[in-house]
Amino acid sequence: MAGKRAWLWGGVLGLSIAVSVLISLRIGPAGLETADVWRAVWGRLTGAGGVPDWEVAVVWDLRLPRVGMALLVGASLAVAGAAYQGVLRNPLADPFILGVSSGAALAAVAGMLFGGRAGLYGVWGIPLLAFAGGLAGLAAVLRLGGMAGGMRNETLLLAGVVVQSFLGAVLTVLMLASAERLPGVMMWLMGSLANRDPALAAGVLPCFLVSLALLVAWARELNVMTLGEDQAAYLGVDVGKRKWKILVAASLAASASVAVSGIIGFVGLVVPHIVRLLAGPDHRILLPLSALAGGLFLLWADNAARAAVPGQEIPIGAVTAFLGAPFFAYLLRRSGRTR
Amino acid sequence: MVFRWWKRAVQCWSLLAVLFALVACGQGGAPAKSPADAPGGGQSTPAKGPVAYPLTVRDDSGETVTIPKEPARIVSLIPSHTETLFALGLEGRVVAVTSYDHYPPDVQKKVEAVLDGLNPSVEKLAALRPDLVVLGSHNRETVQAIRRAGLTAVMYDPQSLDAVYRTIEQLGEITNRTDRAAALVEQMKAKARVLADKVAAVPPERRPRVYVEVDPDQLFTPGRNTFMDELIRLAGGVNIASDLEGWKPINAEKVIRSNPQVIVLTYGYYVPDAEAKLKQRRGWDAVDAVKTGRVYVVDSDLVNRPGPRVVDAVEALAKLFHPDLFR
Repeated sequence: MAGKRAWLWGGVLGLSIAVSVLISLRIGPAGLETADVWRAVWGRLTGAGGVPDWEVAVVWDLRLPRVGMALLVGASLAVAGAAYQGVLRNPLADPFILGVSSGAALAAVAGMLFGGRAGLYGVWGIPLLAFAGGLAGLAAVLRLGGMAGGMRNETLLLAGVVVQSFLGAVLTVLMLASAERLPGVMMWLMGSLANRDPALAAGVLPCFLVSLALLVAWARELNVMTLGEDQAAYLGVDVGKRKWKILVAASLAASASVAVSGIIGFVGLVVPHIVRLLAGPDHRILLPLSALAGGLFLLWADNAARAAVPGQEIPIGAVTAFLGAPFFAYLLRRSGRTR
Repeated sequence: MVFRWWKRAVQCWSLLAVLFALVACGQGGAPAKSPADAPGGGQSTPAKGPVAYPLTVRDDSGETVTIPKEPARIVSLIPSHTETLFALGLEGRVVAVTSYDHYPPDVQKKVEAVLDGLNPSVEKLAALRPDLVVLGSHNRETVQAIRRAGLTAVMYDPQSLDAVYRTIEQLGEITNRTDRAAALVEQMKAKARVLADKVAAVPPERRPRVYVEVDPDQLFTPGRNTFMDELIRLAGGVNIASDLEGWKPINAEKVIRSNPQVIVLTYGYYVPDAEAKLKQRRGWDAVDAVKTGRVYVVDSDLVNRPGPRVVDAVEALAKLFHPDLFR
């Protein structure tokens, strides 16, 4: 029964993504008509002549990689958010709130400022550095919030705010200290997929896949943990150790994605909740579906970022915050009522 | 909130573009010649004789400023004006410049103090007891803060060649160097005329489409009504971003679609291999400038400073746009 529902939603999401990708290829300031886009798509696939170079370049080298990055980043954040929410049993947990994004961004920026220019790291360096930073941010928030099983929402939020403010301050000072890179601050603090080198995704994709595979493999234990630590212990799950493993695996995906896109909030918060409503709380289903739904969500957030203001791009983090913050407020209110 | 952030980022950026551009060594570009070298030095403009103080001027902040006496201790908080002041023979009277000042060579060693030109400490400034502070593209808050400290400050932010001439003449009047300023402007105009004659011969279809990029992350480019836009036009190029107003980020799609024949980068001093990196960008291989290898890094000192060397900047660009004219 649950399996059938999962396949159904998987199919719906997959189809939606396919359609959305095609629509997204049509969106952009260069003003290509649908027919032009198709011509450009076939032009490179078949090597047919007669298609202007610039049309092929815009569709294949600018829009398509960007669509891919949006899907990848959205999927990473949503999967991480689903895992965090499950393991911490806290509906407000997500990479942004937990300080993972801020920590990852700081580490990535520091890496780029102090060694990236020398090409020290290659494809892997920045995502892995971001991973280390993300774990540090997470550890700080959890430590500050008191790692106690059912950590209270307020405590977690406050700890998150404190750690984020601190990391944000360090990040800003870092960027100011290397002032000619100042415009980058916006990109990192509010997130953006504009003008990002698609090659960055090469380091992020494996991180995402490893993270997803591990989390799905541990999905049963995650399910048990959602019941509470005591229950889990009765059922023979060593919560303490498992908890860390899952947190680390989730942080891998979340942090690596930050290296591509900067800090994008609320994706990891909103998406798993919606998927849970649609397909139920079983993590074996929740995690893969969250990946699809997260990709879809961020793809459209990015389309909005690209198209909302003609001639200019909005940071994508502003779009997701615009949608996600009210949802967060709703969750906060609801969780306040039930307690 | 978000838009305010953006706006502020853009503002900061514009300021930075001017100031930080100067970190590169100023080795490029011809040295500003002394006015004596000028063709017909000072003769075409009638000498006005000494300036009578107190002198009242209206500067680009829109305020009326009274200069009580001939300034003897001048602080320049923007490198383009430093160049002008030195070209007017005020070495020795300029007591402080910014950390971005690199021209004339060793200028930082010729002054008492080197300040942060972007966010100058008003305290430090006041401690130097200047009788004139010269400002450029600083924001209103900075200008007012300096004036509130009781300092005499003038602000000039020229955005066109004519405005550069006017600014030089104004600074000449304020510092009692009217004749030298007139000679300097005459010399610049003469050089500009020679260039204009050369460029005028180029038919419209041979003027290259030009894309100027001053930031590799956001693709910042000068639109209409910017100083750089005018430089491009004077050098015989056509700015692909002339549909934008002021300094704006441009979308890569639009650049590729506009298919520039020449690409000019100004950030070579802090991004190593800037040309190579641009050429490697995905999709940019469809652009003529990349196909034909006409991607150039220019000395940002030269092209970003609306000062006495601005005509040299036009020449440098014209050489890139029309190499055959300069053989």
